[in-house]
Amino acid sequence: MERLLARQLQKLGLTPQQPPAAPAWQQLLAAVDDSYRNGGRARYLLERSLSLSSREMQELNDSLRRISAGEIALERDRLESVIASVSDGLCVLDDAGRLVRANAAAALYLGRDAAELSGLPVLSLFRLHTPGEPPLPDDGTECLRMARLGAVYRDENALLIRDGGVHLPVSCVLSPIFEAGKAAGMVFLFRDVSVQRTAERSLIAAREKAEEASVTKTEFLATMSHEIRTPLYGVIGMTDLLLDTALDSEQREYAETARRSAETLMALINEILDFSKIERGRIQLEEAEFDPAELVEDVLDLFAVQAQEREVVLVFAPSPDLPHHIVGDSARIRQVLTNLVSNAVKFTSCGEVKVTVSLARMDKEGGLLALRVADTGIGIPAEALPRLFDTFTQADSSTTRRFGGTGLGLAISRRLTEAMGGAIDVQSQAGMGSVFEARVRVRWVPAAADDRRYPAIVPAPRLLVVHPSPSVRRQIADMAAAWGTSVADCPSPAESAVLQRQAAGEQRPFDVVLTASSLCSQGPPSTFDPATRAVLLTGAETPPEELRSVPRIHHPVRRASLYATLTCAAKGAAAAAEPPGAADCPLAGVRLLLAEDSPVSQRITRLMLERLGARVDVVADGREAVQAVRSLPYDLVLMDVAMPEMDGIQATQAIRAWERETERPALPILAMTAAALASDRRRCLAAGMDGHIGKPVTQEILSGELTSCLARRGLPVAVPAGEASRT
Amino acid sequence: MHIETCSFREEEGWSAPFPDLDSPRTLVLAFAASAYADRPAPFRELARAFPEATILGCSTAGEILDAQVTDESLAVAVVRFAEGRVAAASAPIADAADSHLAGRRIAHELSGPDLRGILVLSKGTQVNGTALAAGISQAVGSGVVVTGGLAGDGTRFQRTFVLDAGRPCPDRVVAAGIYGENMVIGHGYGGGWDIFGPERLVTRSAGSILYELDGRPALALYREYLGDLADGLPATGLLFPLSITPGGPGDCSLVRTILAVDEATQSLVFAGDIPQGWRARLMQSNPDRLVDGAEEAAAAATRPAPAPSLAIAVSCVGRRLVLGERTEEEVEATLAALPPGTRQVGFYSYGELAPAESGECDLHNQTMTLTTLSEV
Repeated sequence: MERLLARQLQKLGLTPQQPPAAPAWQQLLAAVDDSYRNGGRARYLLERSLSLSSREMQELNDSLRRISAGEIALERDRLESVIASVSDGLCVLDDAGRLVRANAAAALYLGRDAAELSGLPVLSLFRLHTPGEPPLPDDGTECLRMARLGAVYRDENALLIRDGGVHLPVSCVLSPIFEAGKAAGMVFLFRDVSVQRTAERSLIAAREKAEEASVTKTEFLATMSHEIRTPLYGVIGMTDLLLDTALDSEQREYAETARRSAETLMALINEILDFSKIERGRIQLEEAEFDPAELVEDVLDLFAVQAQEREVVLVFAPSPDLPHHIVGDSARIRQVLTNLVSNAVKFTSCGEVKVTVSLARMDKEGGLLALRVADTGIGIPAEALPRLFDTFTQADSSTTRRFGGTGLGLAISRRLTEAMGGAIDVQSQAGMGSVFEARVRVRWVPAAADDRRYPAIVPAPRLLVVHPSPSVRRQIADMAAAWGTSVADCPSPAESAVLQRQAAGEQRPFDVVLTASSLCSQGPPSTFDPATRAVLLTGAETPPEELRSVPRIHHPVRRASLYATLTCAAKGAAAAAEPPGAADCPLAGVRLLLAEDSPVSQRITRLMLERLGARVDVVADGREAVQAVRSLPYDLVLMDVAMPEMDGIQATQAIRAWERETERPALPILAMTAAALASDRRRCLAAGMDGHIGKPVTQEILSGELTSCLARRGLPVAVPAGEASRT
Repeated sequence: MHIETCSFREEEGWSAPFPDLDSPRTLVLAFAASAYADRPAPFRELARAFPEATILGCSTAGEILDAQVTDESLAVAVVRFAEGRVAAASAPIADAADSHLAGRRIAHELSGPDLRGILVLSKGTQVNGTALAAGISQAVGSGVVVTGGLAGDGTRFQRTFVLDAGRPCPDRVVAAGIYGENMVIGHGYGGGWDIFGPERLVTRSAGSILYELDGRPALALYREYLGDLADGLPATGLLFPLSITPGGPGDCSLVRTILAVDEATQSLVFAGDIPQGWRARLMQSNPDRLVDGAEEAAAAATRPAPAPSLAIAVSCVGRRLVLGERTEEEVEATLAALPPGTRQVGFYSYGELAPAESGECDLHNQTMTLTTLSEV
């Protein structure tokens, strides 16, 4: 029985078995009626609730749908207006590259309306390129492939192919569309870049015009320089001849001044020409084997006189492990170093210019040769430093007036060092001096490695250096110490006497006492011990009468000279330092023409020749050489083979032809080349040259070759001792 | 502890003589039909019989004694604690705005070092049960169990009273504090109501007055759902309590019951706050679900104890309306679910006060709440 009914009965004290009495029966009926009513009400409420809430849910659902639809429509309209307002062409493509929709701009560009465009493989209307170098034409397969893989394809140089043949340059992007992480079509965006392209073309044209103008200017400079140089050679040659005649002192002074001015002008023009050659990119690097320390000694020699006049001490400190043989463009390296030393000496007075050389190993091919020139001169103000290596600038305009120069030297040096795989830089402080460093790439000499040109001297000699400059004493001491010499030094003759007496007292007297000639105003230096040799260290000038009998070596000291001096002392042989005498100048009285296009080589070679006593005229190319030979009398021509305009071979041929025409005797012509191939030698001889000298030349080689060549021709030369047997 | 129960009917008098349990440690609970406000004789008798005890009581919408529900009667339980102590407090509540303050006063009066629980009975109309519960909770520590209910007036919703110092008072709240380390107070509550239909936004409300749902007058919604039963408002409004929630995910919900309707403003007055901007849904139930809910309450309130405990059941008038004749089934169910030997006393209220999920005392509606007192 239902619990409720059971309880109702129980409450009324009734049992199911017994029928109730009337009042209890009424109560029971009332209670049961109540229960039914309650049940009915409950059901009524339940059904009502159900239907009402269902209806409400439905209404809610409908309104939600309406609102969503409204919001979706709004969102879509917004998106539509964005797409429509994009002024570039925007196309939505399906997976296969067919058009799903295009915006108004796209339709306009493509020249078709929306209906025609639907389903079109749009990319076929464009000429695209594959990415990469070099780009190849693509019919759209490559970019579709990229987009399908999820990558973005860009082409800045595409073309929209239009009817009528005029294609529109466009830049375009194809991007994949991702929905829920999967590729679902692509977006193709393209933009008309015809205006841009036109602007680019004008820019390129303008640049080419500017470059052309620059080239024209440089060519003009070069041409003008040539034109100026030719008569200038004439002036130099003529003043030279004038100086050979009998002139009174006043006339001589005027003539020498004229010649110096002409030579200065020539130097300037050469520099301009050199620069223009570099600007035109016509640098061809040569390779020659050379000794870097000797290269520096050569250059310093050029400035010995000038340095002495300005009371500047030249010091050279090579690093001890510097190899004797390396391969590089020695002529150009010499040119850069000359420029740096020239500046250092020019801008220093009463000071010191110190050159150091070191070689840093880079790989097994070679290394970086660092040439450092430090001076104690006027320095460079900080604001001038950035423009220092630019063309035609000097530290300030007054510099030109005070010190001269074209302002091209450093610009040339920079281009040359860069061409040689290196760099050049400067550190300076106004009033304190400057340090310039040029670094260039050089190669090792295969298998030469480590031969010591200057092996240790045995038995080890003892050397005393007497010189006022501590740097010079240091340089000589370092040089000698590397050969095992024991060195002492002091600044004055008085101390020299003390040290010598001390040494003699210790039973170890000095083998060589090297005294600066400037300290010998009282007469030749004396030595304490009779076995000690006195040697003079002179500047560039010829020593006075009373000192001429003393053996001397020159400052800047060359290793070769010092080594020879010490070796002779060790062996007890007669001093082999440069003895005075006629053999100094085997080419005295000889007029030479030197045809050499490199300004530095010109200077060095000329210096060597002048040391040998010759008189030298210099021209810079074949044409000028021919001209010079026709205008002035020369005893011998040294002809560099590789020259611009007209090379040595052509010049020689021209000279020989002229000689034949005019029935003149053949002028001795010696070729100078860096290359040493047999074929080159044959060419020289075939052209009519008499011989061939390898570059870089040394004074000894020049002396030997020239004297033997001239002797063969029967021309008078002073043959140096030991050379007579050579032919 | 020692527990005895008895009841009173106007016609029959007391069902048993008063037990001899008066002492300062004695608590007397007396739940009476609201008509006894005019016939306070039984209250005076209780006061005379238990001068040292704390007498706590209120009017009801039905009296509970063990497994029976009666009307027009008194249900009385007398319990003397062995070591536990009890103290009384009371505060005035002129209208709903005083609720919070009254709660704080009660709590201050009763607070002490070993206070374990507070039984609070308040007037049933023009009161804000939420605020009252908040006022007490804020002033007591978290270890104190606060339970109780709002006095009832059958289904009339007109006048209620609480017993203060043994006398019926219409505008007060009274409470008893239970002290002692050995006192164990269990509590539990259960509903059985199910939400149905769409969620509605409380678009206009003020305090415990609900004006509009989804922009429509709240009264109109109830009239529609009640149909023919709408004439029975506010009583029939109890058939559709409201489940309200702040609206965020995972928020717990509260149940609210109608206390009154206002035709002029087409609004409904609830027993607790209906905050504007919250979401509301209608609820409905059936007797079986309600009885199950009551069982859950009893299971939650059960605490193991060596001796029989007293269970105080505060149920809701709304449940009675749905259960109808089957009302007693829920108190039978609770008693059956409690440990054997437990005695049960209680009443049908206009709002139940019991710890909510947060652990703090809150106002419940349409809910069976149980508090068990044991001494260990």
